[in-house]
Amino acid sequence: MTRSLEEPGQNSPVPQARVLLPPSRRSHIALGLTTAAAQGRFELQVCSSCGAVQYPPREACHRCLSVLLDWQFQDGGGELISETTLFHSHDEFFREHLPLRLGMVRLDSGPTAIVYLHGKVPPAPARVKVDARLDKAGRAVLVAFPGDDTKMADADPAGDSPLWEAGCGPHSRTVPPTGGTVGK
Amino acid sequence: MTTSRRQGYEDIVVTVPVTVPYVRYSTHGAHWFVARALAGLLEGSRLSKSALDGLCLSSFTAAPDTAVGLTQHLGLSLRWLDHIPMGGAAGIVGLRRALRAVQSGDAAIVACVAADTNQSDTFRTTVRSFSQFAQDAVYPYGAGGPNASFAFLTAYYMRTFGARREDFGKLCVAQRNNALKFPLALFKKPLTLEEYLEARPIADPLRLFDCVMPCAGAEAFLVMRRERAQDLGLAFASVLGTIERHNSFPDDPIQTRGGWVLDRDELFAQAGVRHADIDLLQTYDDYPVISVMQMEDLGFCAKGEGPDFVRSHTFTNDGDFPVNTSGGQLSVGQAGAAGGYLGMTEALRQITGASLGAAVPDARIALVSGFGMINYDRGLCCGAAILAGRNA
Ligand SMILES: [Zn+2]
Repeated sequence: MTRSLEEPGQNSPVPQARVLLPPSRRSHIALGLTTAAAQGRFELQVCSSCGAVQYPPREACHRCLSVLLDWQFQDGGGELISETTLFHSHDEFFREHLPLRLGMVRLDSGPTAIVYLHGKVPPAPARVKVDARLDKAGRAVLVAFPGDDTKMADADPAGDSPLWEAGCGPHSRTVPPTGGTVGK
Repeated sequence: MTTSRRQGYEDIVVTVPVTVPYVRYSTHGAHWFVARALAGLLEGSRLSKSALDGLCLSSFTAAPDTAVGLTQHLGLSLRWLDHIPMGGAAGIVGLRRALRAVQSGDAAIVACVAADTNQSDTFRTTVRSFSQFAQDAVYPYGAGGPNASFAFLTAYYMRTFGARREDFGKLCVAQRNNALKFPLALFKKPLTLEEYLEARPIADPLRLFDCVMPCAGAEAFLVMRRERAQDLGLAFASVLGTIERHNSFPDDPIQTRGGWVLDRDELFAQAGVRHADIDLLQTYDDYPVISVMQMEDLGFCAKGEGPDFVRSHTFTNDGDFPVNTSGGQLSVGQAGAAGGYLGMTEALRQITGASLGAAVPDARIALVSGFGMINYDRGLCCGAAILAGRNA
């Protein structure tokens, strides 16, 4: 049975704006980063056997193949070794926020991380402090802040970047559901 | 470190280079391009389909099928099958596998095929789910794809070794000149250095002409015993030496070198030739910085001397150091994994006197290099092969 669609009247509801979100797909293991970020902490996996710090998140230690990896707090200090400004993106959400500045950071703890750059980070090479933030899809992203000064990250958390939330501390903020083991 | 001596490939040859012409977009599946490539191999060799008993496939877009699905799809009954998901290194690695298969008697005639389609959303889909690390730790940062990854490497290389945009531009312009005579190149207009420098920015410092254009197409060749090729009256090339290496320098903070550094001495020793004997070089050129890296790491100049090397050579087919003689991926197009085969088929044509474009004068010995798979922050697969034409 069919019937023709009615013409929308004068009082038809405002067409719903499409809400674009950054890509949210992550592997199960990578969600550990989000679990910690949702509690305001930057954590990476550390090997219980040899102490090697791992990034990107993985199932086994890249140095000794141990599968006993613990999420542990990271100081985040590192060197910005290269950077780029993106003028093209494959994703619709990001296209609305171009141009977009990214960095490659060698963390003092070992791994290389691709990160967003806070606007005040000087050109590479530069000392930076990497921290984990939540993006609009509720997933952790890494952001590099200028210098060695942790206060900087706290006092001027993120400017007004649409790419990551200004802070993830529980103070006056809603902790988003992550599907992980957030909270106590 | 001691390594066991590598066995040679004396009686095994490479023959029948096939290119299924590239198109920017296609509604066909990857299987269509594999079929066209196989048909081209049979036509070129005058073999029947049943004579093929080995297949080595590389494709990013055949999913959910792998090589085994293709055997039924295309009605191939084989006794040897391999699938090489190694992108820009697929041509070298595929050749290596096929050579040993034929040498050992596991197969008599192996078709090596790289084929990919390009539909409207193909490239984004490939980039998004390229690897677990890319999905978790690269794509969420602006989804720039390989452009962003190579922008980091290019910016670092420029800062560290004093390369200028003009140096990369010189390579791109030279390759375009080579492509203007190559009938299968998608880019048919000349490129000036000014156009290169002023092009639309993509991912600083990369601009439009630093980046390959994704497209659909296929490349293929056959591996068989020398006597068989002679019986069939085919022009063929011998394989003097080959190398491959994966995840070579994991402790480097950022990639400035690849595994060729570790194996190039063995490559040249196995081949029994010197650098001066190389008549043409096919680099994997998804971005010009990677071509320069290969020139350094294969030993044509020292690390960091790439910019000077570029300034002191022309790279055109009539020049003093012909590189990417068909125009390379930068001017022909990047048909997915076929980009890892492009240098191989072009080298085969050049050294067997069957060039489709401008022939490199007296070309006898070619070095083909492969590089692939930005799994996270660097390319993991490196390989190279030295081939000699019939008159070498
Ligand atoms: Zn370990």
